[in-house]
Amino acid sequence: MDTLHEQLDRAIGDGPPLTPIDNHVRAGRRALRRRRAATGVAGLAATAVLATGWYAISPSTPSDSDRLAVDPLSSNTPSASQSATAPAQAPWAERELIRYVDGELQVRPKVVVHEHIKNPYSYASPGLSDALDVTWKGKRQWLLINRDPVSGGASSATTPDNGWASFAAYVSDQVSGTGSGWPDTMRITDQGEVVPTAGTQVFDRTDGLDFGPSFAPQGATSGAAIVSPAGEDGRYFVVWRVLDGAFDVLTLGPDEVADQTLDELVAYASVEYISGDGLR
Amino acid sequence: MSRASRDDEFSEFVAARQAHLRRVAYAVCGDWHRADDLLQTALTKLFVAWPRVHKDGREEAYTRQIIVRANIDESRRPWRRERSGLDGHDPAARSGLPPEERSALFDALQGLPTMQRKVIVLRHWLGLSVEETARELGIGSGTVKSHSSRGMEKLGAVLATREGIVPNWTIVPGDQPAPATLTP
Repeated sequence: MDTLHEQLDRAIGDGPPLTPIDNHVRAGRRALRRRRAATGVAGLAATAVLATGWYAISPSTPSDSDRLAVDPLSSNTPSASQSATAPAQAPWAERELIRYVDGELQVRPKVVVHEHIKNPYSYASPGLSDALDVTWKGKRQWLLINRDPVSGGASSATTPDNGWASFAAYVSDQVSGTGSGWPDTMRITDQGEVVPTAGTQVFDRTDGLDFGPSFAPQGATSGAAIVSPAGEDGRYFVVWRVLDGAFDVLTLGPDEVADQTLDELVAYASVEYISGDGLR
Repeated sequence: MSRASRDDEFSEFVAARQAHLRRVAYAVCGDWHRADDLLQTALTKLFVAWPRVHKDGREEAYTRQIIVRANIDESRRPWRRERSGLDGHDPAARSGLPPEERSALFDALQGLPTMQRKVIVLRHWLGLSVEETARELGIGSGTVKSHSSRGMEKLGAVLATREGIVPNWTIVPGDQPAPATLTP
């Protein structure tokens, strides 16, 4: 007589071919990168909060010209790479590249500053804001940090060319607070049809995604495509959905897309939403 | 831990265990595509947590727990895929039992309430103890026994009344309430 274990074992069977192991490794690496990036930003933010405390008790109100602790670079002027050596007043957190201490912007030792835009938010004193184009350990990064006495502070980082034509464009988008910061690639017509914006090239496209309720209600207009925005060669992955009547586009830049196919990217996005993380 | 080391160890584990883990996912969700997604989600989380989980030798239990604790019912509606790699494969084409028999047993399992189904899978297919099943699902031992008993009862009843099949299984020791054999 068969045990239930044996009967179930046969009934369950083996199923279709398995996903290649490399796919699992790649998905894991991506998740790890996101985790580390989030941790890095969180660490930077935590330090910024601490620095706000120092800043708040600091009687000084430094001028623009002396706020960069070492090697201040002229605003909006790309310069030869320079190493800014910050005073070792406090240990640097892992992946922390810039911080405010006593109202001064400090740059981590060995970070190479290519360009520094001072006070991009045009804050009145004692507010602080800085944007830097830097290289650290061989990786180019665009950094933005701000400290507003009213609303607090924030910091962000991205890799160059990951959706912006230039460092100045990145800073402009962040400061303006409008749009997603990504190129406009898809739009919805009055008839509810999703079409590419003028000049956008669509390489591959699928309509009707089922990523679960955390993505969109069942039957909602949705889709995904690999596109190149007007005037750019880079390939972007875009996912769209209509939520409460609003057309929402989520974008992954060329860094994330690399040479992946639409099927692979859709599968990746599906996992992100099923796991509850999402793309944003 | 170096990236190469993590990749190699993780790959070795996936190569050895992903087929089994996907079967676990399939048993609890009843859809191979959904099982692939559940497995992918679980393995991605495992990769991130690899150093601490691997150090403790809990890779399989960790991954399985993510799979069985997933909120399956929320997404048990018909699943449509954009992925092309699995197209053309008939998810119902499973080897082992004749179609009418395997569908009856498997359909009966899928017809159980979620927790009963999970308990049946963990207790009577994977052979976990009551305590292990309770830990895996995050419920009490008494609840496991209750679900197991009711689940076995319903399985037998469904098969008997809907399909006219006489279940002829025996059960693993430990859960007393379910009968060893059932007759219509």
